[in-house]
Amino acid sequence: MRTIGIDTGGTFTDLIEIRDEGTARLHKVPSTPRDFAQGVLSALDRSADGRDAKVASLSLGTTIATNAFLTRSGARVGLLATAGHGDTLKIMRVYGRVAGLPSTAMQSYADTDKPVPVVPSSLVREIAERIDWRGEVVVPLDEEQAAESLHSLLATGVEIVAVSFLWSFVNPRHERRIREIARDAFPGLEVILSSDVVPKLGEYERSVSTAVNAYVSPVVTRFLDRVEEGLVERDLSAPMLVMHSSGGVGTGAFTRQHAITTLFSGPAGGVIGAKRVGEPLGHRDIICTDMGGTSFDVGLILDGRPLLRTTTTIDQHVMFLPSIDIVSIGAGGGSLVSVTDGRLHIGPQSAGADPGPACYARGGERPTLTDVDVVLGYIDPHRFVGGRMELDAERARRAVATHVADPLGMTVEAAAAAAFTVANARMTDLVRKVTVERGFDPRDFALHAYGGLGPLHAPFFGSDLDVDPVVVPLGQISSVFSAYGIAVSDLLHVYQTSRVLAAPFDAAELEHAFSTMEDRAKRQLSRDGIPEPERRLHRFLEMRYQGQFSEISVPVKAGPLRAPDSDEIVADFEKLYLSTFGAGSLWSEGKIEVAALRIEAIGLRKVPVAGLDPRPFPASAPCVRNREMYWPTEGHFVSTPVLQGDALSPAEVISGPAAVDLTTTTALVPPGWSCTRDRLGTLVMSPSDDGGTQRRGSGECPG
Amino acid sequence: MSWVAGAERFYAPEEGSRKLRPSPSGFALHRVEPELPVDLITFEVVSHRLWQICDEMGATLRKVSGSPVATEAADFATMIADENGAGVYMGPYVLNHAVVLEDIISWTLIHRADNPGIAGNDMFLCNDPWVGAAHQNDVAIYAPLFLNGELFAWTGTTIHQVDVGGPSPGSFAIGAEDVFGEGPPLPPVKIMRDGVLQSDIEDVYIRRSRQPAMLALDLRAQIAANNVAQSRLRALVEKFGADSVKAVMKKVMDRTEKALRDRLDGLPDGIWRHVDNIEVAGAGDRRVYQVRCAMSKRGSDLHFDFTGTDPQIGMINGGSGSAMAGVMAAILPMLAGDQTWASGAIRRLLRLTNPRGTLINARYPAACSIASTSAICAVHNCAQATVAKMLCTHPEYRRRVLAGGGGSWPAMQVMGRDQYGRAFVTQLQEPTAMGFGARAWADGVNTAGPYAIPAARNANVETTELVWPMLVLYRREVTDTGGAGRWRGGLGGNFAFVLHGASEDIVHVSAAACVAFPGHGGLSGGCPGSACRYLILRNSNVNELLARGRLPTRLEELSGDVELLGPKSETQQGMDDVYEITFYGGAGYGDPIDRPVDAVMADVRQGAVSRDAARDIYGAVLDSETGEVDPMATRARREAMRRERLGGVVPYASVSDIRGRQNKVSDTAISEYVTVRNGRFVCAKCDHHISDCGENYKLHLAIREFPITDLSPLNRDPSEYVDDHIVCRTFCCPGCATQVDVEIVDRSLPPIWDCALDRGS
Repeated sequence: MRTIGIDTGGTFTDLIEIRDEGTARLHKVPSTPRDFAQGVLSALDRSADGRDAKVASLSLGTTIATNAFLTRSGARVGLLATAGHGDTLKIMRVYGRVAGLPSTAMQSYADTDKPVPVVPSSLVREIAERIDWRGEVVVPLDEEQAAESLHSLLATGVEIVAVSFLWSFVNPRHERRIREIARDAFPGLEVILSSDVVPKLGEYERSVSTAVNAYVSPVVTRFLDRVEEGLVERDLSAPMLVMHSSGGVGTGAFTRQHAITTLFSGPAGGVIGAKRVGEPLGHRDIICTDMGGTSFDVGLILDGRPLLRTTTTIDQHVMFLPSIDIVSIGAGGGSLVSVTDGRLHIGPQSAGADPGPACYARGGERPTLTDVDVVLGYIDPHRFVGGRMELDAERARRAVATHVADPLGMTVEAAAAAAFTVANARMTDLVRKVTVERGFDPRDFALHAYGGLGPLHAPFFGSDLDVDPVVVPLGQISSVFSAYGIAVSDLLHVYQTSRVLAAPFDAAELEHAFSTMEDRAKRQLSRDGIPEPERRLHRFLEMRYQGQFSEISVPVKAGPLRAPDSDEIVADFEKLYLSTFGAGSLWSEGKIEVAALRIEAIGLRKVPVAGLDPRPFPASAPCVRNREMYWPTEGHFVSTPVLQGDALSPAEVISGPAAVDLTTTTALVPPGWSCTRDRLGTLVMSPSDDGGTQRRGSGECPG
Repeated sequence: MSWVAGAERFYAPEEGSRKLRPSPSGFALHRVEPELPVDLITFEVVSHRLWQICDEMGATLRKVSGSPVATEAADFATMIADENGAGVYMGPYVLNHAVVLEDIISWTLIHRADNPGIAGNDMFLCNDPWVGAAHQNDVAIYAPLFLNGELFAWTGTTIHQVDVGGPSPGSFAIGAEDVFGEGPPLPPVKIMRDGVLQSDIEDVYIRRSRQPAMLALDLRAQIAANNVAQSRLRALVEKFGADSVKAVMKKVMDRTEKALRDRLDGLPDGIWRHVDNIEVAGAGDRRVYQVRCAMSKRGSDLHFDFTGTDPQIGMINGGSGSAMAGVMAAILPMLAGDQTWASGAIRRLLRLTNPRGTLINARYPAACSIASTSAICAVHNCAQATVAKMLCTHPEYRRRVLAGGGGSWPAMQVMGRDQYGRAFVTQLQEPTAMGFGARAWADGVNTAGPYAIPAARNANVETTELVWPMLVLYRREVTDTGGAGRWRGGLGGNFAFVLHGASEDIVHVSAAACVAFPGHGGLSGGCPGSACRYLILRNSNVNELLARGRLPTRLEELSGDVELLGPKSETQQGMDDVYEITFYGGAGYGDPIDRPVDAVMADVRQGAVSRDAARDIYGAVLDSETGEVDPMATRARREAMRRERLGGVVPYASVSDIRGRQNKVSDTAISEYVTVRNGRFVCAKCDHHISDCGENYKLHLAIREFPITDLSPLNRDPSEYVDDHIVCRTFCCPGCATQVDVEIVDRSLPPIWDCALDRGS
């Protein structure tokens, strides 16, 4: 049986298949942007080569919701809002002008603007109805007006209706009544309620979440329908699962109802992959770094669980969408390196895939980080992406010379080395932001590096952070790591609800609120077909001092909660608070309160950790060749052995400087570091404390 | 001289004495040679890390603070300064708070080094407007960083506190005659001694407030932010060495200075002037006061001369740091938007002439509890207008310019008892929903925020209703608030509520400028956005309507007695009263009748512009049934408007001549419509020769005056609030009748000579 993970939406559709015995195979086909389902099915066909073609499950990761949202090519959505509050999506809490932008981008006011709305104001209808903060009806729903509004929206060609009324998360009666009215008067019209999508305080974020869910829903549904039809045509009855932003998969049926959860799910796959690879290695705390073509992304795994955030900002829209807390900067292989006023800049502009880096020789004139890596000898121009693409090293040199070295008055090598070091420092700073700013010490973590150039840069920013070890998960698979993470991902549902409760907490009340959500979760998991023993439920409280507007997330033990647990919860909060904000920040007179409850409901799938098809390990793998590489710590080029990654035996210890060729990417082992490869291909690198164990590297290849 | 003996000691050090570099006893300042080389990589790595540390200070403040003013509206500031207190990095929060930290640190170095001393792990607190604080509500907590016994740098934060005492809730003392009628200022005191919070000092500070618990929490937030920054800086120094880090800080400042100087060098020399109005100097007053600014640009230096500004009066004054704070707030986003905001370096190209004893540099003990929304805003408006007009001379920098925004911050201080029976005082953050001014290439952003806060945010209605005893009836973007122009100013929002769950009336304190009439930040003939309007509908039928199941969502749907609230007023809201406030729209850019009719039509469809305003102000006539443009009627209307502008005379340059003549990039220009040719100002559209560059060209344009109410139905007749005769004055080209400039001005004053270029520049 095969477990399949597919990552689609980019230039290529990546497919990984994992067999029960723990081996994996990779396939890559061009994506088909007009109908992404085609690419998915052709990748599937490519993988079915007549051997054991039976599929246990098929997990999909897709960016089509993200694409539809960013290009505003989603559905025509009508929105019903409480009368007097129809401008909520326009006002965007004022903050929409700059939400999610780096602070440098906020500085130039003239360049800031609000994004194009998902629902134009002509498709917003204000409905007379009002509920107050206690959930009491102040003004009953004007049902006649509601029906007329639905009618007028349909007359303008609206495909789907979102409803977001004030305080509906406390009392959803009016919102639900709209659905009934629609069902009676306009059968077949899909109506999405904010109290269903996310019953949480904050009408702006709730309305955006609801509207965006409606906006991407038809696109996602069409895509899933097409894939499912294809599966039926191929007589594959395997269940289809879809990756969500929260880092779990959901069933196709669930995803059609909650299309918004596929937004921003792309980077989630890698984090889940790292979590899975980390398990047998004993890594409970992992810094996950993904360096792709345009960006460098960082996420965290804490005590074996990915760190989630409860709001997600995409294209300046802030949503109550739980997602793996991934932070990005524009420092990928395609990021442009430039000089203005004597300052060296890395990104955020990217050469993209077309024209791409100068060394692609597709007309790109400006240097990118990939060009820098070529100039410094890290990337072998003849073996890029497994030799599928020949790079033009001379163009890379010329681009770096013209645009970096000359303006700075440096040699090409020194300029490239400066760009390499500065880029690594940017990555260090981002990892610091993600860890230190939240009260974590990066030295307590393992660092996993994947994506096309991750294994090349990671040892450098890793050593800057004193992280040990630096891991290239599953070797060659690390370059299609998202697909891997998608394949192995467990089912995950996140439920959250607003409830303000002051300490000392009424344990019974907390227990009741948690168990209500858990009942909902269990029903969903049973619909998903997850048997009882494979279910895991985790509880969290969003807590703060009374008066604060920002919460920290405190894990809570499984129920049933009893009275003494209140003190424990308070103590956990204070401990977390102190570690986050430092000495002097605790407020002993302050009242502590809960603002929201959250549960994460997991359905375990137990996909085996897999490596590529095993090959016989030679007693001593041949050293492929030597290449001149520039090592910043040495300050000059050093003839460096390049080893074949899949030919290394698990017992072997490689000492830097060395490079490990992983076909689709290259891992670097800097001087003073050592590296081992495990049975599955994972490279584990550490700063070595003595040179005695070195077996390779630090010298020439024999012969 | 102040009539209070000994007051002089508390004035912020003059610009000159700041440069003297105090050399305090007991410790040395860490300095590096200016020539100390820093390699490129170290510079990039360290400078980025410093920036990130400053960013993290802001994140920490926001997370720990309990004040919606800080967490929601971002009404706070963060800064990393060098050993002398010169700002190297500031966070993108409230710009004028950050700048004043420099004055406060300078004063502390001079006056606190000997007694009680400045040492490692100390922190200071200050909210004294003469020492430097913007006003008493903006409380600074700042800390020296010592390394090996040397003072290496400073970190600092400020937060606007909702209440720091005094007679008025929210500490905006609208009846104060002097500072003794306000929350008392605290000059720099040591709040943290060797890492220990001094609880006696804390009690002195929080005891005066109506919200001591919130002050205590925010104090901890500010301490946490300084802690975080200091520990990060220590780690950075450990890795790169103190000299390298300091050398990078100096270089960051030098680079910002150089970039700005290069930019200024590319602009023509000249003088730009602006006169800003502040109405009503306190409860009961009905006069309008002027802040005057002449900004001269010579080479790469800017000189802001505020001579002629009205003397200090009432409670609308600002302390010693006001002028620099307002000037910097305008310069940062427009002139330095793409540079590191190293205010300590930007100061080097600024010179201020600002005599003491005026509205914006008041002698102790003048009342200045609302300086941040009065004096500093007025300076900000002056600097905004003059710097924007200066940048308009350059085709590329013109893209970075914004027409005027709100012009002030309409304070909404409320006090009462909430639905849980607890007493509360707060400042609502709804005024963030003001419009941005238009750009030279795009409309202004609607409900975009105040210019002094790059990333402002208002609260969700649900948060507001959960915390305070209110039912928010409506919150919208408001038609006709955006200033008319070729590019329209951004719309302002409104906000209306009735008490809900309250057991007693609540008290409102309102304090703002630009209520009686709008500000005048329009550029190239663009009109101002609408004024702010505070009102209460007394004894309304709101509860009756709600009981009958009707939800009023506009003032017009309610009956009751409209009571306008004055620009400085205190009142009570009862159970049947509806409170409504409408916030400023942004100003426009360019002549409104140059706006393409399709854009006007879209504005009408989206509710940005009313049909009446489309016809009266934009000259765009829409078919009453289809809403489509009526081209014939529009053409006739626009021709009639041109004739009216010239007092009934038909423009000699016809509309058809005008096409295609705009925007000759090769010309030096002072605005969209006024070009410089052979030492003369010439209309860019019709080549009409206006005047010599050395004289007030506006005297050679067709001048007309209008009532303020003609600009927007939201504007009230200023005579409802003030006795001075304020009008809208427009200036049009005598050749083609294009509107070139718009003033909001006391009609007894002559036209403002807003731009004069030096000969030969």
